[in-house]
Amino acid sequence: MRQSPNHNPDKDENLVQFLRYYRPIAPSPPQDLETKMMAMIQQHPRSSPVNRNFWMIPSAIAAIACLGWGASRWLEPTPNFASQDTQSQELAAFLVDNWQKVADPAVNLHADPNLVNQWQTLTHSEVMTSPSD
Amino acid sequence: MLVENRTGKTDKALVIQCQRGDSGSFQHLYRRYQPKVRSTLYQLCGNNRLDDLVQEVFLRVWKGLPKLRETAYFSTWLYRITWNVATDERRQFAKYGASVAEDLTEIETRLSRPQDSPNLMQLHYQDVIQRGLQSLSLDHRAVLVLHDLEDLPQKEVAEILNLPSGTVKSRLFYARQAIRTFLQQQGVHNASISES
Repeated sequence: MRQSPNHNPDKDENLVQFLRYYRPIAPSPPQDLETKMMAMIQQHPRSSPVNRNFWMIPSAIAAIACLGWGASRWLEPTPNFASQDTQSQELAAFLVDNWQKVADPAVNLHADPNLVNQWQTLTHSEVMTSPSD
Repeated sequence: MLVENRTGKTDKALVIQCQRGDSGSFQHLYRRYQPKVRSTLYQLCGNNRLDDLVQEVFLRVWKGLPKLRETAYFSTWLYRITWNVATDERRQFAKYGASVAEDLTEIETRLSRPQDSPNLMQLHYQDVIQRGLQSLSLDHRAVLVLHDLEDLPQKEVAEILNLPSGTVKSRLFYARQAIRTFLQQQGVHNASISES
């Protein structure tokens, strides 16, 4: 801020002293103003912070639960077979074995007696119904 | 900013209790700050509706207290509310075209009351200063009242009025210059000012 060349701090100090000494005094408040004021605020009750905290608790619990669920999902390890030789070998062996069972019915049927029974039931019913056609 | 008086409690302690809904603590705050608020409003807005304006300030304080986070700065916040109420009042005043004559009549009424009349010279100077303040714009008057009459530091005045410190300093300079000129025009000479 630019101040005028004749700006004098002492002059300001004298002015401020003068203003303070002769400042206009506000008229005294009516006797019942405080009573009216207190009655007025009683008409405007407001919720205390305790109530606000009460509602904050379930919100905080829900937020923490969501956070925990999100973190667990994020930190959950994804399967990565190719990275480990033993796991990839096991996987290859499983696939070969599985395809062998599919390709060789004898092995497959022998492995599951129930399938043999179901197969026999099915073929017998076809034989019994075919002559009548 | 921490004020402690006969109640033995700081502003901060009283504010925290008020925030819990304790109207007794609010009454202590009211008694502590009512004279300052009343005086500031009187310098800014005159006597017209003064009681209503004081009530308006404290009602806004009561409603706004739960949202007050910086409890240690209660007085700054209170002055800001006072300033807001004063500017709202001046806006209404301008809108409905109330006359300055009304204020002058009130000054005359006040001057005629014997209990407020210590001596004629003092009354004369009070009247001149009152009119001098009225002659300033509200922005300049606010800075002068808060800094020079209410003795608040420039930094706090800047926070109350939400202005940069440089602007407060500038307005203070021009407000003092204007009121000095007004006083001289009213026959108050530098010698009188120096003698106070």
